[in-house]
Amino acid sequence: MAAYITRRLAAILPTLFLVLIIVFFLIRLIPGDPAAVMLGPDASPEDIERLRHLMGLDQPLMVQFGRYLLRVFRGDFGMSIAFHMPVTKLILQRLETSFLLALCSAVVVFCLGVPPGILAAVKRNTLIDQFLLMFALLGASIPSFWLGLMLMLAFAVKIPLFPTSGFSSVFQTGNLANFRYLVLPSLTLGFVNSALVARLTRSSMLEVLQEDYVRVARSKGVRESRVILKHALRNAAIPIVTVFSFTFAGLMSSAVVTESVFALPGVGRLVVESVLRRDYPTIQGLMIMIAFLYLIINLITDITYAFIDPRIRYD
Amino acid sequence: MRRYILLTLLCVGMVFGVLAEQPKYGGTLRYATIGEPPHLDLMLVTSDLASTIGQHIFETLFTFDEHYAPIPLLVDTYEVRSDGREIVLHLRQGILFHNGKELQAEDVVASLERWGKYGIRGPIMFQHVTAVVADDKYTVRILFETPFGPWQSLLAFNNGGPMIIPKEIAEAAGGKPLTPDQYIGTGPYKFAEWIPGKYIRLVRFEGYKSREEPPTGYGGARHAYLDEILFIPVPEAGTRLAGVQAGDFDYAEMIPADLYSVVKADPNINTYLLRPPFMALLFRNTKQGIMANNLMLQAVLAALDMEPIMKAAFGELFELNGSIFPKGTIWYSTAGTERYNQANLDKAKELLKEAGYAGEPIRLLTNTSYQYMYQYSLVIADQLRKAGMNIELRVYDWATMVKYRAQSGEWDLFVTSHGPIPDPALLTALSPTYPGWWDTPQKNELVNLFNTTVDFKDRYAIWEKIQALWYEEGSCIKLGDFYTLNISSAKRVGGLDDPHQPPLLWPYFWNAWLKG
Amino acid sequence: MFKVLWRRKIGLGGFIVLISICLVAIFAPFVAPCDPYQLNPSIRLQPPNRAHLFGTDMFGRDILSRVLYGARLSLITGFSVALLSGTLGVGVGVVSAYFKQTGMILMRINDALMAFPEIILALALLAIAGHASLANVIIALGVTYAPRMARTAYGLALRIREFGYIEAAQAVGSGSFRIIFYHLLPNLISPVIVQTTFTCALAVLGAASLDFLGVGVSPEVPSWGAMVNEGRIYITIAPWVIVFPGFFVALLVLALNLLGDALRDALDPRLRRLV
Repeated sequence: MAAYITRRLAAILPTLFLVLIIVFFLIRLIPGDPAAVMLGPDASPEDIERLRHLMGLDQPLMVQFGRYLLRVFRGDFGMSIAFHMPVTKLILQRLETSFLLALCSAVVVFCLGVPPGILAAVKRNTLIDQFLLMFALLGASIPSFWLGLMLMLAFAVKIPLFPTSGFSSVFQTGNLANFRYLVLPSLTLGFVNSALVARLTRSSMLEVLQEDYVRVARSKGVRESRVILKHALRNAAIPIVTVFSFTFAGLMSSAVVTESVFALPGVGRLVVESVLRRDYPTIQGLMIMIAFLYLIINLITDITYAFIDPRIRYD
Repeated sequence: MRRYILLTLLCVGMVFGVLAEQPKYGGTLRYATIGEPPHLDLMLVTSDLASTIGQHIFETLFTFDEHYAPIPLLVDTYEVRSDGREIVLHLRQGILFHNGKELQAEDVVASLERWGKYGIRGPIMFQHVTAVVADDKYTVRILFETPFGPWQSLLAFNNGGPMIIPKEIAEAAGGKPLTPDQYIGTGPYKFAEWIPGKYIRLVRFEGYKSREEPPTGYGGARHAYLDEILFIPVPEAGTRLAGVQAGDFDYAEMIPADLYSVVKADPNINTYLLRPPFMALLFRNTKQGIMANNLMLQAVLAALDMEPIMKAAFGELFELNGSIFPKGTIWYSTAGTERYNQANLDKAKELLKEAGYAGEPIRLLTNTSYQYMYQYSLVIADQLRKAGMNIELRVYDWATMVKYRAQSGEWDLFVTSHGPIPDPALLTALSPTYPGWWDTPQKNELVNLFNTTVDFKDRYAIWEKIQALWYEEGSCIKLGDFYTLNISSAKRVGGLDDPHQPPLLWPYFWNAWLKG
Repeated sequence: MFKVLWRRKIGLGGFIVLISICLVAIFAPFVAPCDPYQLNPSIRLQPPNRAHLFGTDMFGRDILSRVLYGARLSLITGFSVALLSGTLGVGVGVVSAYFKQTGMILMRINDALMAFPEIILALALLAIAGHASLANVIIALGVTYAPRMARTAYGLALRIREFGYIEAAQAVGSGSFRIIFYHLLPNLISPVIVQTTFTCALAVLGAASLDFLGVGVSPEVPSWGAMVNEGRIYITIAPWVIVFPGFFVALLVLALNLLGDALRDALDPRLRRLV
């Protein structure tokens, strides 16, 4: 097991390097340059040229790449052109928001996805089942930007229960009340992402409930709730865990739309902002981080499988 | 007995009432900004935010009064000799830098030279300068090859301008932006710290020597009542507004024009429309393409109805004004403005025919990065189409639009906006290298003459000629003036309603105080 | 087809809604009360009234007309992306199943692409394309959703391999091309149709999200997502600007999903397991 983990971790580095190369050259294909964005509408072409020169943007591409690579090996991902702070610091700041949002949304996804999914499987083809299926379908169909705005309209504008937008740090201020900024966004994200989990839980449970060992457990006189929760769920868990972990990864990195609606300073929005502002160092740093995130989550998921299902071994 | 009590109460009330309006020393003002400046080296940056923050730290030789005319700040008296080929500046004495050093002529010389060499607007003046010398401890002499009319405005304009820093720092920094430990100026507030993403903090400079005259515009006395000023980046407008309402901030900038009715109605919020306003502009390509024909310019001028154009983008916060410079500034002029806002579709159609326009596509560049630009470009396109022009709207983000704009074969019209400037010499639209490329001998001659004349009355006369020419053959069409909307907490902030200290473009707080 | 749909009434409902939206989109010029491009700044931000059933937006344009025309963009995008990703995906998936070695490599790349967050992938592709025309949006989304289809096609094609059709055909001497076209593809049609319907739903949602973020098509063209984006800052004073366009996105996507579900249940009960 330990050897397997080490192997996997070692394989991550070359992948990240590949990502870096691809991203570096790809984003420079995008027309427009950061100097123009920084200086704004009043700048004359000479001003822009002067800034480009100052930023080293007129150097040949390979030279720029070489310099960047050297710095990356020292752990320095450069300065964000748009935000004037080290890229690592910038991403970490945004990461806090995205992480907390993902966490809260994951809780919502679980609550809206797993118990109802189990219930629907147990009460198959009844009204409850149909209701859940409709609910899940709705979640998969409703655009997150619209749901978010409607929630905002209802619970922040018309009835001012929650703040409409923005975010105040929880970690830096230690103020737990700042979670109120995350309530509406996590409800939005949670509802939309719970659809898949609910359906998968239901179908996975349905399959498992037909298996022999479930019938055996029932005939042994085990209580029904125990049958479901202990025996069936354990075996149904694998696909649920898969979907859940990738949903979490997705929540971290691609909650762009929800972050945009609620003005949350998260990673998703940072991607859009840095692309619009041609903030090359930030885009590069972000892509590496996202790739890294996915690779790690992949690894953790695989390890979790081994714990859930003793039959799986990684020798 | 009752009468005595009433009288006493009245007196006490009056005393409190008067006291309530008196400035109080102390407190921290929290200013919610739209973002963060790239840095605070005012010589090397034109970001409005940098000027807003930096003007508290750094000072210039001159500054602007309530009519946006230049007046002395660090200078005490000055003389203009040899028809403007020689400017002699006598500095005020006993002015201290934040590091305790006294301001002397050598610091001014070093600062001006750095600005002339590396500053954004420095070269505009310094291409005419032969030397800057320190005659004695408090006298500086600037020698010009030819008289340079805009000298005073340029020395007063701190945006990309000549802030005065100690000689040692000017020499050490060279062409690189000052680092935070080099933010040493003479202003009423000194730089304390900058935590990126959190705030920039300024604290009162106890050794500040204020001018004696009553405040007028940026000039006159600066009392520095506040202990500290915090500039906090809050990128979302809605959050900035909500923050002031909730008491998290005392002042917030750039509130969207459409929320004006909302904030105006709120008794706890004071609104400020910053002056001078920005200019909404439409440029045409005079170098290449269909729009290079002057008759096409006239056709566009005839077709445009400016009110709906400005309204769509700015709600009520705009003013129709054909003069390049706003009313109330010294450069305001009506020369040529009879061609502004004609809203005459028939005349436009006739002019199109006369120009020989046969329905060729006219490429209008716009962008979605600046929402208001996108909004007025839609209305412009609609109006020009009604006049018979085949407008092809090209929508990009700002960076991409700038890229295409630089290539003369790629566009015929584009929209943009420019911030206010104190002197026509700083108008980028007059530069032959700015996209639009207005480069006729007539214009170049007038601009040259304008820049080498020193007397204001003479310069103004020349400017009127330039503006008239602008409407005949220029590359830029003025759409109107628009205002930035800032707000403050009415309960907390005082000192911002002095009629002699109008809300100027870069909000200043050296005479503001916190109530209660 | 209809017999099948009759049995699942909800699916029928979805089908009807979809057809209605298609009809509205096609006949928009006749159904819409106003010109969706007509600017009228003097009546901007009016609440729903008799003259403008859904109200007016910040330029004074009639929202109802823009919503009706917006259906065109959503439907064209949805169908085009579904077609593109379907073709690409099936192509890659089937070829990978047939040519085992290259297939495994292709599928690895495919999985990598699939793991990448969709919206970021689409965003990156769009940014590189330069400016966002409808064609670019379709290509970007088509490439983003193709991996799913490829996965499905690959899995199914592998299963078909195991049934022995392929070996038998090879034994008889049929060429690869023939085998792929006459043996593999026909067996894939049902699941592909189902997956395509779902992809269409995802595409409508994805395109609306891109328009909402401001990186989709030019906002001049009536687009539901762009309408919500433009109307955002007016949420406190004119919520109708965002309520209606967003609702229709949900409606169309729901209809497509319902249809997809019904088709799946009807065409292949085995597919119920493949979520």
